[in-house]
Amino acid sequence: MSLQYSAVFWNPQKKTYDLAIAGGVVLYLGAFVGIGSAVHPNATAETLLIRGFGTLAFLLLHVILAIGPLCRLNRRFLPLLYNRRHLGVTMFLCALVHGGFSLFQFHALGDASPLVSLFVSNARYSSIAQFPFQSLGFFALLFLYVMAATSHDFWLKNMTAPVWKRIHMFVYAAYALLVGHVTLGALQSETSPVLPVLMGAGLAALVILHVASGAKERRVDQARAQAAAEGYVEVCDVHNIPEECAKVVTAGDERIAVFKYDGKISAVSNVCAHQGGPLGEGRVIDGCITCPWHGYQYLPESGQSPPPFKELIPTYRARVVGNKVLVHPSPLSPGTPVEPARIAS
Amino acid sequence: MTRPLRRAHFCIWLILTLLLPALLVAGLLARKSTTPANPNLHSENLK
Repeated sequence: MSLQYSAVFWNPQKKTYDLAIAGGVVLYLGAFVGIGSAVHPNATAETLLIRGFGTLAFLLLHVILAIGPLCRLNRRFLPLLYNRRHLGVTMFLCALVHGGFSLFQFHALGDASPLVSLFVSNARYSSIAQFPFQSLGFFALLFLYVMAATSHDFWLKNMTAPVWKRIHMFVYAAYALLVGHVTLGALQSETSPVLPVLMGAGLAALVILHVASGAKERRVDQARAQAAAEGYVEVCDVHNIPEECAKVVTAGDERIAVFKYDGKISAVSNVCAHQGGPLGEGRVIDGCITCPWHGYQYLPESGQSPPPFKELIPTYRARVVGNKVLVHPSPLSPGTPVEPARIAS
Repeated sequence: MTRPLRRAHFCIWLILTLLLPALLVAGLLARKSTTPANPNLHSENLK
């Protein structure tokens, strides 16, 4: 068994995403070097670039770590999740430039090899204030390299998703190492409160986002477990149902039409009381489910035809938990009113 | 299917929530001025 390498297909969305990343990187570095040279006229170009690329990589890492929980809290952030790997590779490249420049500037001019010098020139591992923080950055860069090198779909398929995901969870180890790298490095010589405040705010934001999204997932899990215990079955994703239309699902032995309208979900029998037409292929028109065959109409929340008509169809109890629609497979008597499930915004 | 993954995330963030703020505070408390004060300089006397 072998896997074939497939080249990346550059669709318009990917191009836009990458252009935005490239534009952001150029803008940030330009602003950093421009403002940095104005505020610190004695700073060399190498120093400004080392700091510019370093702060940019750390900032990008915060953005990358925030995207996952933001998407779980609100689907509007999903476009950011698309091609997050490109952002990760960009972040690694920025970190690599930072590390490479630093290694050259601080360790390349002595007798020892720069990599040896990195580890032996400062061995005060028991000191907090003088800790050899560059070694923390080196190991973080190593983790980031492994993740960037295996970011292509080829590796995802080759290694299988669980193994790939485990490797890519090392991003948290890299983040912890980088917090140590910055705290024990740049913050030790920084007298301005701006950097420590930004660092603390970034850490607090990430912790709050991950805890909040974790709590939301936990609530959804509990609600799903409770619904399953009450006999509800998961039938589809809310976003798979077109607005004012239905998705036909099979629960138990019956076909059920699950309609989405006005931010609500209602489930009714898929069979029209008139001639057995497929209601799920119809639409919600003027607030009524309308059969595609002869235009017979029913109120979605009760299965009753609007007065003066008398037709009735069975209704089903429905719930929305997270993004999932759950339906109880036992039909209620034709025309039984059921409170529609509300879709959380 | 994703429950073990979410559990791993939860454990990782629990550890990071405890570890990283402690590291940050310890690092800030350990800070020392890298440039010793020089009383012979006029600007140092103005501080």
